[in-house]
Amino acid sequence: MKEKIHPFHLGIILYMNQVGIGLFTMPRLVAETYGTNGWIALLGHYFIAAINILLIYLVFKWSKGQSIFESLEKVIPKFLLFPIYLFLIAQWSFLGVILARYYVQILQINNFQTTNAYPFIIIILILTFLLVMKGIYNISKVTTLLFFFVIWIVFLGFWLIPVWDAINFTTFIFKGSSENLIEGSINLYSSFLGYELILLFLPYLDTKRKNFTGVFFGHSLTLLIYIYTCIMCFGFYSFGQLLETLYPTLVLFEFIEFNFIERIDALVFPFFLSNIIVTTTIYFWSALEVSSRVLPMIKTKWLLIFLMVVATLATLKVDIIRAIEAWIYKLTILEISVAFGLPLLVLLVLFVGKIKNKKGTI
Amino acid sequence: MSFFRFLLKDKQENSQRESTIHKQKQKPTLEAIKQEFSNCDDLVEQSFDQIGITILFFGHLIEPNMFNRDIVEPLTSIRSEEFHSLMERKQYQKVKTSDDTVQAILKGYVAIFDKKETYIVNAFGPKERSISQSETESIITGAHDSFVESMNTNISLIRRRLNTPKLKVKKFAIGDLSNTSVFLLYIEDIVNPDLLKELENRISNVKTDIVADSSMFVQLIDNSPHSVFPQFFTTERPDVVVNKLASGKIAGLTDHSPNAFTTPTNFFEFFESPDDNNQRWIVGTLVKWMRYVAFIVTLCFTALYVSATTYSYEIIPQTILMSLAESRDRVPFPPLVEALILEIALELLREAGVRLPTKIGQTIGIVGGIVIGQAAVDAGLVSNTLIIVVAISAISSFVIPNYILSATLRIARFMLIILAGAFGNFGLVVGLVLLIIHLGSLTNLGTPYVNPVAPMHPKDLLLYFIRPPHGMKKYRPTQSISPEPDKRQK
Repeated sequence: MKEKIHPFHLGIILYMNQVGIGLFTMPRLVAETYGTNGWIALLGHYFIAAINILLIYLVFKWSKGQSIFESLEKVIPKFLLFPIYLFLIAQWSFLGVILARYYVQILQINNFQTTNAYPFIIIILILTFLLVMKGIYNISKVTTLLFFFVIWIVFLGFWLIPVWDAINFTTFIFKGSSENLIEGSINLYSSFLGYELILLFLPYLDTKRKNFTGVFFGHSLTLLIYIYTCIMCFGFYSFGQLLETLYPTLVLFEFIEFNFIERIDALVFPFFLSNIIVTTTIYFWSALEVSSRVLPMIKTKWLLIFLMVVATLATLKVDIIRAIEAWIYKLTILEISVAFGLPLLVLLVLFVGKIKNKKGTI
Repeated sequence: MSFFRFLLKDKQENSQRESTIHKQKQKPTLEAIKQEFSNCDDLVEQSFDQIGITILFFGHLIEPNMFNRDIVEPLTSIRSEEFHSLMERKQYQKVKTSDDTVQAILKGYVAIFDKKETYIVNAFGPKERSISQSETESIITGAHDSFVESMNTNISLIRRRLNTPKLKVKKFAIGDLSNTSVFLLYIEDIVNPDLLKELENRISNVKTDIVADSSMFVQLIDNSPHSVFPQFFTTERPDVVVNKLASGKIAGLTDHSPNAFTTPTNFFEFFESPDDNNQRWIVGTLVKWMRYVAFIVTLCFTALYVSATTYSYEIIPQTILMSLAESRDRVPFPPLVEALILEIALELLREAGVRLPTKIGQTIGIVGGIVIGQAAVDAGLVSNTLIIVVAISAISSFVIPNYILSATLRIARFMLIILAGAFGNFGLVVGLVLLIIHLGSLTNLGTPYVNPVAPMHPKDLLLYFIRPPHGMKKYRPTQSISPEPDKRQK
């Protein structure tokens, strides 16, 4: 019997996929975009993403756990779907590599400033390759282990309580918000993305279980961690400091000291490799799932190597943080379109399929 | 032409095979059996001329009292016409084929050759080690007996503790040359029949010449033969096997091996010791946690030292940094080389200590650990801080109750040290993520190796991460239980 993913593990995969590098810039982005007490606006992002997840839930219900590709191919001829497939493969492969690059760039702020970034990127891609090749059931197990491997970092925030002051929150709400609200919101929404890939998990879920309870658990855990991080930062920095600090979450860790260890940001940030590995793995796994529809005859190992090499070569020139952030912004816009567009397309196809079936039976 | 040659060879092989089968099935005669054992100078042939009987046996496989009682005394006190009525006693069995006779002699039977018939009688009872304490899994409280090399003794040690007819034993003969007996033990109604069937299939498909030990045998039936991690739990202790059997697991015993293996197993089982059950539950739980801390320390401490002193001096508080800088002041090597030298030296010491007799082993420890260590610091070859770090890592590795896992972790530690030396904290985390990916994809008999964390079984977490009070232990681990489990422990 094919192993199915348990709702709890589905939630953990979603959490690990969502929470990543965005956590380190989020408090500043929130302050820049929404102004004082901007963290409240995260609830809005959460609910928009939740509506999107409900669309995916509808797909799951209507298709009874069928693969979205099977649903699409039943109604739309395959040659018409190929451009969509190719777009998805490129989109997800690029996202996987760009996020790995972004992580390496921030890592090099602390250490290895003069070292070439490629050894680090290649290491991340090797780990990703190893994990993707294990299959989705093993990915879910490893993701759960990696979750416990990093979750302890949350509790380090308690050491900041003595220097945390509620007065830094100010009594104002959304004062000093950005004029470019849409760009800021899109940047922030990228931290919630990752849930759209649940669409590809549908055939690996047990239809008898409450899978979407797991999804909402993961999504809510993400929100909880984001709000917790923002509250820690809003209480630690003044609003002005927050706007000026590039990676406020990272700097926060610099202030935590123990008797035997200090400047733990140098230790904590590498641990976030776990989140990055999960994110790149899930994106490449998704790209591979689509690739297998386009080129079913090629072995997955070679397909994956091809995707990784092409995506890395295509982003060869994207080697400074500003360029990477610009890429992420553009890919986020495309990904939001995919997140809403793909389930809507599948729902439409399922609806047409149902009508066709009804006509057939009449 | 070659095709015909091939056919011819095949024909020759077939005829050889047929002649062997014919030999095996032919009636046993003294000459035929002696021919089978030609050039075996340890085979003893003894004749009782007054009744015209000859016996064959291996002197080192028999027990002298039994031999005298069942063979020598009866055969010297009867007349030739009484021989057949003597052979009707239940300890004597008539054999019909040469092969059966050969196998019986090899297993410690005495073959008795009349002019027409052949009989065998069991006189097996070679010298064997008496039951003693386990040296690799010693405990403070609780039963101290451990398995020996004799299968009968080992099974009796388990049966004595499990007085139930539901304890079933299945026998397999493995090894083309050794023909070693492998026994599977399980408790009916508790065991998962699917897992039992899977294990039986795997054992039946083993192709090997000899089976020397349980620890070697399990490597022939595991899923990932290239993994450094042990995938079957092996133990010398009957009380541990009994506990595992009661929790629905299957135990395996190999003849001539003082180790038993149990399955399905998971990574967290290797951190358990029988002492935990004998302690008060709070103490048992804390000791268990200490082992997990030791696991982290033995894996990461030296690697973290290398990483901190190579790339991330900022994580060391200034007060410690001063003394660390002083201790490293005269050391001519980079931290990675310094750590590798010391770790390899320690591994050499450990290996030398294991091979040498106990008293000399202790001397090696003192000479190596104290004299060479101090001299190395004085000579400025290594820093005394690193000696402390490596010593703590080594001590932590000995806290892990399972020797095989402890040895695995020492190997994994080298990988982490090298990665930390190359990429600092990032390298250290890469190594740990690599281990997690590897552990996450391992299975034991098809069940996940990292159960109960992934897949998550919250009730089982209590069994593995705390030592619950005995009154509250009402569940068997999900990994091993039958699909229709009898949930009560009793």
